[in-house]
Amino acid sequence: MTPNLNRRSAGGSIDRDRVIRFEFNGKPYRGYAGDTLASALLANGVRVVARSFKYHRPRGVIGTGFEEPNALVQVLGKDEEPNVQATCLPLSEGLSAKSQNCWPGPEFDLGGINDRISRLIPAGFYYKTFMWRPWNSYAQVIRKAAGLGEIPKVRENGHYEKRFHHCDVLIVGAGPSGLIAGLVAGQSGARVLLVDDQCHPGGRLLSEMAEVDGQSALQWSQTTTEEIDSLPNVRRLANSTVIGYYDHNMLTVIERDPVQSWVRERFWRVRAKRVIIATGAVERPLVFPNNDRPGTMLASAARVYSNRFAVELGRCIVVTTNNNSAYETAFDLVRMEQNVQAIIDTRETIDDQLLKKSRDHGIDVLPSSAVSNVHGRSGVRSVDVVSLSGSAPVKRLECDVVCYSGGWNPLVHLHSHSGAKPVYNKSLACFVPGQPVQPALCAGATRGVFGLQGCLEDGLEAGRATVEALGLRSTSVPLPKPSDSLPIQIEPIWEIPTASRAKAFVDFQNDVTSADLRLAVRENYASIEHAKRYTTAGMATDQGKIGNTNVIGLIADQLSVDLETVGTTTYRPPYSPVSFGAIAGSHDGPLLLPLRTTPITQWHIDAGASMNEAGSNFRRPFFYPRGDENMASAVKREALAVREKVGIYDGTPLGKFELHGLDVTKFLNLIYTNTWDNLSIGEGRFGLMLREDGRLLDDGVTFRLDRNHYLLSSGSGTAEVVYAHMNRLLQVVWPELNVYVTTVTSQWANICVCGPSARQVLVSAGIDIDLESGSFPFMSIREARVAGYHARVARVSYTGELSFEVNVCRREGLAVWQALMNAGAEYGITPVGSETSAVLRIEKGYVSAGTEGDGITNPFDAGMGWVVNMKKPDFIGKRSLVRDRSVGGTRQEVVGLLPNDEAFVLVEGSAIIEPSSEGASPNYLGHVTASCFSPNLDRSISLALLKNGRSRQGDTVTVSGLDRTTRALVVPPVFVDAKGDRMRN
Amino acid sequence: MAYDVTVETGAPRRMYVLRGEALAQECFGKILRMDVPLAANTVTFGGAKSLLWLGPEEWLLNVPEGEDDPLDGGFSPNECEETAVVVDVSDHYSVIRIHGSETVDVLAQACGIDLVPESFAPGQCARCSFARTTGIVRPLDDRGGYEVIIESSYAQYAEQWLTNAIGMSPSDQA
Repeated sequence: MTPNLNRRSAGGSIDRDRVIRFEFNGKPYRGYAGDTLASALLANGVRVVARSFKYHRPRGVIGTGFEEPNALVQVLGKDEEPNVQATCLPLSEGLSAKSQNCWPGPEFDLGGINDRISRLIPAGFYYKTFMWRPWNSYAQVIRKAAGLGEIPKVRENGHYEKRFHHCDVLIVGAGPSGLIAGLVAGQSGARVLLVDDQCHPGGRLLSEMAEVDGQSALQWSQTTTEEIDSLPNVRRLANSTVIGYYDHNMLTVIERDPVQSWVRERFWRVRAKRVIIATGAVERPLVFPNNDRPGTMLASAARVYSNRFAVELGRCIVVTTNNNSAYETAFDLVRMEQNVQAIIDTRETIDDQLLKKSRDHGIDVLPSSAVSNVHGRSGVRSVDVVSLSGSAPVKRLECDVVCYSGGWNPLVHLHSHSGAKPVYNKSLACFVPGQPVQPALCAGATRGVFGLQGCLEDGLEAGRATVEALGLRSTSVPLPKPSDSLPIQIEPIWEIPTASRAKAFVDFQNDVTSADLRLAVRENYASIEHAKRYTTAGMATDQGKIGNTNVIGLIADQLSVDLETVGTTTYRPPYSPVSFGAIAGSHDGPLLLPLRTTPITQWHIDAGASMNEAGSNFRRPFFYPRGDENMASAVKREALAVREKVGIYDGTPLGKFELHGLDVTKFLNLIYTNTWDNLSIGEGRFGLMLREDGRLLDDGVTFRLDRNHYLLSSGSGTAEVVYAHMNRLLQVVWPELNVYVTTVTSQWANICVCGPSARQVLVSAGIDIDLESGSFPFMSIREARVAGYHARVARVSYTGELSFEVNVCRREGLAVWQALMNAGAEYGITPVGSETSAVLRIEKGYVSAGTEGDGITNPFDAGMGWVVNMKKPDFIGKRSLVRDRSVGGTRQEVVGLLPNDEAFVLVEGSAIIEPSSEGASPNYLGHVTASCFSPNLDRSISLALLKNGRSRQGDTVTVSGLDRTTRALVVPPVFVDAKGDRMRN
Repeated sequence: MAYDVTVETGAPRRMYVLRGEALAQECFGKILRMDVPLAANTVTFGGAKSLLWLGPEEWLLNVPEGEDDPLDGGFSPNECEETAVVVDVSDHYSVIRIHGSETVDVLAQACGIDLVPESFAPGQCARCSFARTTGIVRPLDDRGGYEVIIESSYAQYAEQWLTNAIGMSPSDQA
């Protein structure tokens, strides 16, 4: 008993023992294992599967794979996904899907009004119409109408995997060419990856009634696959698509439904020594009015649905073609007891054998004729047939299915991704691969070899050539003998001439008609790249796989040039749609960023710190709120503690590098702007590192630990850049220097104790050196034992207060932090976060390389000329600084700002303008770089970059930010302890 | 369901970065009583100690706990003091051990090197991009045992990343 209305009771490659229940648009249906959603819908008599994007015309299935432009559905349920091609979706138990582009449903859709007013919305209407304000009024409506499918509302939790893979040969496609190439390559011992986008290998052999070596084509592909699968050096991926071909033979593959049950999709990055592209070809439609009505279908698709899925396509079928291949469909349909009423062939001369064979099958052939219109809105009812040679009257033929073939498009997409250019083949009327630019070969229909015999020969040869190129020996795989197939003998016709004004579709997915393309050419969008963008032909999920050659043909006709002159657009990855999950892989949720920790990170979290990501992926304490404190009150408490008592700060992320070698001093003189010759052992110096263009790259303190041994520190966020910068200079610019740079950022936990009571805290924790300035001055480093642990203690300051940075081994970091917290309790020690640290540096006017140093600022702009020794023979950036000075002109300089409203914190990034120029055309002077409410001054303060800033000190400027404009006084950029006594004390 | 792979934090050990030209290399060999690997991405062994080639004039010495450490307490070779460099990185790096029958399926997610035994076997090592950071990967045996040496600040993240790659959510493991 068959559950399906339009299914033959026997035949096809479906598993009739396994009935599968599914839902479409809320209605229950049944199909069989082996069905796709498309084949199951056709078998259930569902003709209208979706509405088209622009005109909302009812549409049915016209293809069988990734070329399908119409049958896009939204899969519902917990794995909801939009824009799934019904032709590529294997039927599964409980599957539920709905039509796209329609409301309330595909049978009656309100958007259908667009089809009636189509005269008002031709190609390019969007660009011509929506140019004027107010944007908002129509943007809302357009947004609703734009786009395909709906974004799922539930978060999906599928596990997506990404992996790398290496192989000798990647074979794309397991049709006849790919299978035989796979066998040859596999038997040579090469590491082979064979990828096919269908669930079962075989390609066209799955649905053709041909014979190979005396067995059915299907049987041959099964035995060949078994042979391939028995080779341990071959890995075969089914239901997987190669979506991109990049430089150096790197290809990407999406594997759907891998054997690992927990993996939803796997994204492969494959590095292949050689590639064989055997992706086949897809048929293209003929362009005639109403060629999109449900019931019209590619002839090859009709053959697949009838032969492989045992679908009864209709009561009465008309086939129309400009080549021989559709005859095979017609003969197969007759063999399946379908009623093929006529073959309407645009060619004048048709092979006699073919005519005889058609008569034998009881099919009328109408040469030199074409379909000039299709009647029936939600399903084909009849067609008009026009004679192309004489003036015979238009004839109407009743039918419910129209199968068309306008020729074949080899799938040259991957060839094009690889950087190669497809070329036009006149006798085949299609674009075929040109010269390869990477180690790859195309084989079979991809290369325009359409006959089965040719595909097998071509695949065998590609396999052999590839094996030889790898330096391996190929075994002698005998060439299989298939039954005959027809030569294509195409006579291209890019549009059927007709008086009808009904729409003739070229790109079905974007509703691009032949009239749209003519309009585009008339408006001089004649280049294929322009015409594509103007009309949208060839865009969206199907990337115009069936339509592109017709688009090129129509433009060529319109311009009276040949197709080679027009050329193709450049195909780019991905070949077929990719889910966002596959692109993201595991980089989601807690693994979104590679977050780093210090040994004290967990302590900060336990202490209730508000954490944020700062500087090279470290998660750092932002501030430590107590009780019901908010950020402002917590930062105020922390900042006051540092200035009045003592604070403790986890500085571990600081970039740390050990520099060894005979030439380190020379190297430091080259990478920093100041002089390093006279630094004593145990002393440190602040340095400014510039880029070649003289702009700030980084700043930090470097200590001399021994004669040829230095410890250099960089900003946390710039550590990797600084490391790369130093290595580039050592490897490329000055390879003769004897300098070794070793990163030790994570070797050392860095704990900064800062504030007037810092000494007492260290003494109380236990330290075996004298901390007084006489023996341990500012900017020096000492080896010591702190709380019983070996430490390097540095006396530096980023807060302007007396500070000691205690560096201990990472594994001892937490213990030392806790010892210092305990020892500091009686002095009111307060952990401070990065926000407080920022407030303290603004109070001191310390320039930050990432904020005031914005890629334009040079050291003189930053007020740091004191660190630059222009008398040195050379340093990185010197030449550019000389140029800055000789060019002269105004430069933006770092200044302080005191807003007139002491309580108002200027928004960072606010524009600074000349007060006299407020209004229509303000005179821009610079911008606010950093702002805070200073707890120590009890007022708001800012740093800013201001044109000729230093000479404007004492002026009042206007600051315009977000929604408030205010005035501020320009002052020197240091608000607390200008002399620096506190940190030196 | 998940891959048959276990991820473990390796025991702490002494690690040193060694740098230097020919004279220094000779000196390292004498002090360590080991061959210094000169071929790219190879490892030499001396007892339980191993010396990994990381780059021209750059090696990583691994001294497991309990093993005699010739560099403990400083480094002052007399004849090559000027050019030989030793930096203690015992805390800078952490070790993650991976074993199981499907380790290749998990490692292939983390790094782009070819992991088949013909290309990457015990005695070899590679510093490479690993789970969006950098790792030093080496096979330990031919039964799917590997170790990854990774900057300590990334170790916690890398273990979570690998746990997820195995097919377990990080909370499953906890």
